[in-house]
Amino acid sequence: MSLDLWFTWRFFYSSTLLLSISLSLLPGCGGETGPKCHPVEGKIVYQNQPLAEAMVVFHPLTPPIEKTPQPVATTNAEGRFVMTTLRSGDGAPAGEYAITIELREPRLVGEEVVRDGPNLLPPKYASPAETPLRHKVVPGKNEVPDIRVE
Amino acid sequence: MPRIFGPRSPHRGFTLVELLVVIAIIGILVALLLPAVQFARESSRRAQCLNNLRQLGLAFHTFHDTTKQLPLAYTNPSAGGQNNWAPFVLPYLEQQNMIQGYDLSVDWWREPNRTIALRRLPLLQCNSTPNPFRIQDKPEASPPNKTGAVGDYFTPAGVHPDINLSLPAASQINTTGDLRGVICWFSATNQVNSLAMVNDGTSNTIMVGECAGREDVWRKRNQFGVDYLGAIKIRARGGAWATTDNAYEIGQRKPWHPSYTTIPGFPAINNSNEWGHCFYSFHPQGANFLMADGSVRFMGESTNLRTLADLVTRGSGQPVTEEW
Repeated sequence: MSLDLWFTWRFFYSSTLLLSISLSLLPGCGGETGPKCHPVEGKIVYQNQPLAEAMVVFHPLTPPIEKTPQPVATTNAEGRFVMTTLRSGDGAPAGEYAITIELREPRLVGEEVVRDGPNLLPPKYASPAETPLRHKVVPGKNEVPDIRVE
Repeated sequence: MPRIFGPRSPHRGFTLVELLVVIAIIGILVALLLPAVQFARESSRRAQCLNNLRQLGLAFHTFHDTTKQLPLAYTNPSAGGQNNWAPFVLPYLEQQNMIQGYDLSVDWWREPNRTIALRRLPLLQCNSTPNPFRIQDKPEASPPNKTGAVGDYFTPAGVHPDINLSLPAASQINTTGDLRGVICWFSATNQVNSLAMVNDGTSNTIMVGECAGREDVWRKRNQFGVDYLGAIKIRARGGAWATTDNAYEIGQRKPWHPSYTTIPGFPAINNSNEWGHCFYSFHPQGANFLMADGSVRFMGESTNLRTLADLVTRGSGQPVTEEW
């Protein structure tokens, strides 16, 4: 059998078809997992001043269906926070939350001063069980009403 | 005499289509082969990294044999120079020449230590990490900058109580227990480290782990270039091999600076290389570890966070319950 026989149009078509099928089957993975999060932003005021560098944590009151880390944020110089769960600034999954707020005393760890000392705010705001702060995250953009820590 | 000009030979040449098919087949074969070659290269880099950690383990143990203690993650900042564990163990690592002239009573970023800290130490770097020639160059209020060549290994100083925010209710850690790691830093309650303090068992306790790619921030496999001075300050603390920022307590999600976003996702191996988070390497699917007994091992990304916490603490009294 001559080699030329293999190089017919029929062979060319069938082999390209076969190849494209097998190649299209190869990448069968990808896609991020986890629940859908909705953007959550807000502002914290303490003694009539914006509260900077405070740690804000959302504690789900209804257990989440899927395993997710707790939505966490740190307030910036204007006292504003943007919640993060699975991706930067993605917010929180829909549901009811208790909000805790802590402002820790600055402490030198290594070469940087980090907010890692004792809590400086009233302790009730740091406990998920005692905090008076609640918020319900709904689909779409969420703006938490200004939080006043007293 | 051979014929040069004459009737055309009965053997025809190859047509374009035939050539294309041949090229396509060759291309597919190469495409099949290339990943295999890449896997082989990565596995050799991983082996090299394990070997670095093994050498480090020997150095820590020789240091312990000589001094009856392990080095602190960093020494008392108010007594003498600010230095981390590296200059203490490097002389036991056949790196005597490298470290010659290092003065432990001087801060690591000041001369004569500055010149030495700028030297690249391949033994403290993992080959899988891109660009081994990165340097930390952190501006300071008063000069000089804190400048040094980078390393990819760190000593977990312990577990941070914030880890409970990322753990399910059933597997919370006891925050009043002993959460210190093998190579803990100086504090009022921790003036010295030694193997005798590793009550959880030296083969069940991590001494050195990977936190690669600093000072650039890596979240999953996305890179965010270091930016010390911008409106949004991006930095994975602890890049230089000599910095006292090298060690941290794992389990946190706080950003280095409040202008930057919180670290997304669960603290897990290869989630982020930011200070205080967890372990990070460029090996696919996991990272390398040096245990306190000097053994080295590879652990997968799916390793349970609670298990990692139990492996980091040296005397929590918590046995590691899960297969790891």
